[in-house]
Amino acid sequence: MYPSKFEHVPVQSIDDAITALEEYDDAELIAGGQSLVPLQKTRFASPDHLIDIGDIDELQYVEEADEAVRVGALATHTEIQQAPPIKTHAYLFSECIGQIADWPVRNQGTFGGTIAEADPSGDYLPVMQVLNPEIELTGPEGDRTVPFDEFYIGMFTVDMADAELVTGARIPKLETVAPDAAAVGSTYKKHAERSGDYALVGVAAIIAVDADETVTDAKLSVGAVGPLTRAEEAEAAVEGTALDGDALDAAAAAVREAVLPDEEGSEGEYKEAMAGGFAERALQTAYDRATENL
Amino acid sequence: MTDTDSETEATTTVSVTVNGEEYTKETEDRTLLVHFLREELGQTGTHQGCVVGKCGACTVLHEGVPKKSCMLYAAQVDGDEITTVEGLPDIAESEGVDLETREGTTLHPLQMGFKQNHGLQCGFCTPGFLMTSYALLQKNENPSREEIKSALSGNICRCTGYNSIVDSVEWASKVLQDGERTAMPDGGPETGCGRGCSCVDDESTGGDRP
Repeated sequence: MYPSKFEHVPVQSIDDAITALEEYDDAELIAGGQSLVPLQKTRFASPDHLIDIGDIDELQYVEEADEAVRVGALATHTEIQQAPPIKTHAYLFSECIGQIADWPVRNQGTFGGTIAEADPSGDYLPVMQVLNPEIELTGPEGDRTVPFDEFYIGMFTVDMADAELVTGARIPKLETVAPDAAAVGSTYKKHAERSGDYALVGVAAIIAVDADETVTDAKLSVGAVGPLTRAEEAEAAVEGTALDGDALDAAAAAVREAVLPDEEGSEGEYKEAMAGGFAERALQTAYDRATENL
Repeated sequence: MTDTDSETEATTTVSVTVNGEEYTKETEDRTLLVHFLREELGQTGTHQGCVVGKCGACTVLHEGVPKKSCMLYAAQVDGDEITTVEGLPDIAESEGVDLETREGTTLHPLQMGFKQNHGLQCGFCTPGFLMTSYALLQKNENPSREEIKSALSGNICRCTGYNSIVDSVEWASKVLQDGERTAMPDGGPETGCGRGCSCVDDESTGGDRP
């Protein structure tokens, strides 16, 4: 259980990181390494060079900025989870992080590494899909930003050039996601067999309501059940309702229909059923939180 | 530091402060921190369990924060401060909270807590549990049982069933807060069975129990 040989290349600035990415043919960036190190040990990844960006201080921040919360690529999961602006303005993200792996792993794993890896079983993806933050990248051609729904192409695949790196993201405040709403609520619900496991199903939900407790806007994303799924028909099924039983049933049915589990037979049916069930729970919790905020 | 090809192994000179003592050693770039500590520095208190980041036996503090030392390369922590289980008695002494066993060994209240409350059986996982628990009590001096369980969810123990570990951390938390350094002297309770009941306080029942 040891990685193949590599050369460790520590860099102290973003420019040095880009230069190193251009210089070495077979290189990977290492930030926290909580996904990359296990991949190296199992030889799924065997880069010749590891460009260590872990000490670039300018990428370590979580701070409020107008309508967004800016998160640096090297902010650790724990730092994001505990940051007051995230708890206040994007609660589901904090709630999601609390369910990733375990405390020591969350202390080392970073935002940028997680976003760039885009593991379909990871907890971030559904949360990112409903929040749709602007992802900030930099490379030899300069800086650019791209919304998450364009950045994320598919499992383990994102819109990044070879010598680019993620520098951060602008997480929109929930109140800006539905600016006309009277109140907004959000949640992330995960099912795993053991504490710290990858999700068998993970559901992110944002619900906006008007003063009469009617849903004006719903965002629902299901992760870990086949490809990342934006459950648009389920969203439509609850919009305009007070999230009564019929609306929840219709949403759950739409989710079961929308997901495409990788597994066949009973295992796939199980994951479809769990996706429906956890979507119901997520919608209910987000709705309850929204109406409590009225 | 050096060029690598298929024949040679890239190495880095790593300087770390472990439990207050500075070490500088050249090591392979792919050396994991757990192996650097154990094999290069001879600090074998940190245990290697699963080596895939699941079991937590190798947990150490990196700049005061608990991390799994099998999930870090030694080269990543160059210039940094590491605290391992070997450092706990010194920390306790410097903070004036050290406890002593009958044999005269100095222990941190957490170590005494695990000893007194059957927080270990085989002891293999214990260094990791101690380090995570220490970091928890640094952040939160009076954690609830749920908070203890949550903090320790990345540490696996195959002996105890965990309840006695949670008891151990609670015991240490109380001792550290109340300064009840003789609350439960080593060698067991002086009276009673130690479960907080009144079984031996009532002299009439003493000696007749099976």
